[in-house]
Amino acid sequence: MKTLELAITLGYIALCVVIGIWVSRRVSESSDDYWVAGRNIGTFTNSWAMMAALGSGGSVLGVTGLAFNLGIPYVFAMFAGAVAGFPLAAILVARQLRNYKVRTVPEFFDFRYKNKALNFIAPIIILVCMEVYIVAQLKAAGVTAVYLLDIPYDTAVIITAVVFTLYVSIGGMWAVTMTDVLQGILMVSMVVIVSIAVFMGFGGFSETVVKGTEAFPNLGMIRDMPIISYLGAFAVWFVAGCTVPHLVMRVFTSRDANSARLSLNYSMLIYAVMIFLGAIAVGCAGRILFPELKDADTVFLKVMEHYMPSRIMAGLAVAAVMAAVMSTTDALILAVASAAVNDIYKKHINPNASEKTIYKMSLIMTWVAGLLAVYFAFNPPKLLTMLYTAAVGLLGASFFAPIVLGIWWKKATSSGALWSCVAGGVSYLYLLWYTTLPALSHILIAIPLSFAVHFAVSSMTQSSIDKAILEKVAIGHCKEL
Amino acid sequence: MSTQGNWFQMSKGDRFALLAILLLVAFGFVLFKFPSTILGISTFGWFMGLMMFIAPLLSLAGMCMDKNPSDKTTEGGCAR
Repeated sequence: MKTLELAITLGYIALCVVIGIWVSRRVSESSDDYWVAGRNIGTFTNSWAMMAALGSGGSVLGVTGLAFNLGIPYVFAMFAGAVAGFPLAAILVARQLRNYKVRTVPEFFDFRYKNKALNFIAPIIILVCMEVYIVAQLKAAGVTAVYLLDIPYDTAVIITAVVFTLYVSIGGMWAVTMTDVLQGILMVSMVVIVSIAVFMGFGGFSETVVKGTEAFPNLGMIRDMPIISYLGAFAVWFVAGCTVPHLVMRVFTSRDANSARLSLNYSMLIYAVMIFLGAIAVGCAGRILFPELKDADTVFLKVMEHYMPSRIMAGLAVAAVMAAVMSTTDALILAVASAAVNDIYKKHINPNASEKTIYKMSLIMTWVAGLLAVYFAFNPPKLLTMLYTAAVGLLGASFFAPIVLGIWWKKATSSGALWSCVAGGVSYLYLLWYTTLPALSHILIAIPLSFAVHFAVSSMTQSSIDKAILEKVAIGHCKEL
Repeated sequence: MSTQGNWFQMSKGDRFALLAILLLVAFGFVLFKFPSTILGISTFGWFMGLMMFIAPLLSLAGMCMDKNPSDKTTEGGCAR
């Protein structure tokens, strides 16, 4: 066991718990405090928290591994989708969702559509997709700890899960936000430091790129994949900013609509720096130094070890990867708990529950979600990356049309939203499981189909439009309700 | 807020940013068919890399446009 590296990592983890306990004083047993941090997060804090929520273990280990394996153009196409998706959310949904003062995506559906079936289906989709996402993150934490700390995989998974579940259950969204700021800064700093070290090692940015692409020409080339694979990779993440609950919930925490929109854009400028530098520096250095590497996901750790032989830096690097994992997973676990408590328990099981009961249920569900994730992470499915991307795609295929049309189209009806959600989700899963379409391209059919169904069904059910709801939707375009 | 038509009105800045982002994405994927490279990386790759910076900047520019006092509408397409 590498004692110094482990001590640094544990010290960092302890700091996260202390922050969780410190900010828990702000959670006054009110569900608004627990779920959306009292809607009082400023632009600077929210920008870093949003960046950290998107920047998962996949963004540090996965991006560099993907660049190493599938080439830099593929990575940039996928992550340009994620980055452009946040400005898209700033334009299409952020102001309105913040002004409607809802706390979750299903709560928006209830506000806009008041459809009982949709109110039940939406949180179920969120629960399943987010839990898959969490398991993928825990696996990343386990793999990193095994590689750099020499501790058993299961131990690393348990430690990571207990820590973030502990501080989320104590401090809710306040804890998630404050720890995410710390984790975001650590994560970006480490990737930038490693990238600068790589560029300096090869004599500059251009020299690194040239040497990397000379060593492995396919690194910079468009691979022998159809354009719809690239388009699909872009599209899955392009709509994620509007649909994936742990990202959308950050909009609800903003002080006001303007701050939400600014945060979405600033966060992506920070994220772009990390992805751009990380993919180029580590992708190139990896191909030059470790051309025969079999597990592409370890390329960042290999390159980091090569350029940062100091044990302190190695400890900080593990902490940075753990930060990337925890900053996403804490937000995910809150999204799972909110779907279970806010959208299922309060809406369908105990509608008269007091704020105190809701708060207690939130604590319980946060632990249930955390422990379930640990159980699945012990034996993660082999095709985890596919499952996790499929989960994000399913959320986009199911929710993008009902959210966007619900905000912008006056003729959107409750039945239209329900069938649009079902058509998008079912068609996506059918295409994913029963066809041989190229990877990630399924969403290119599912989303247009979801829009078409919404338009068709809404046009046939115009008599059900509630004028009072439409008036509120209109007000939300201008000011807080 | 306009109550006419089937759609809620989008502000000028947001319309500009949305259109610009979608056009740039479309242009980026047109580059997919061109085999040219810069420093060994395809122009498509470089363009997508730059998109990561351009998209948020365009959205911020759209927000700035909506703050222009000579406009008749504010952010959200609401009447001043």
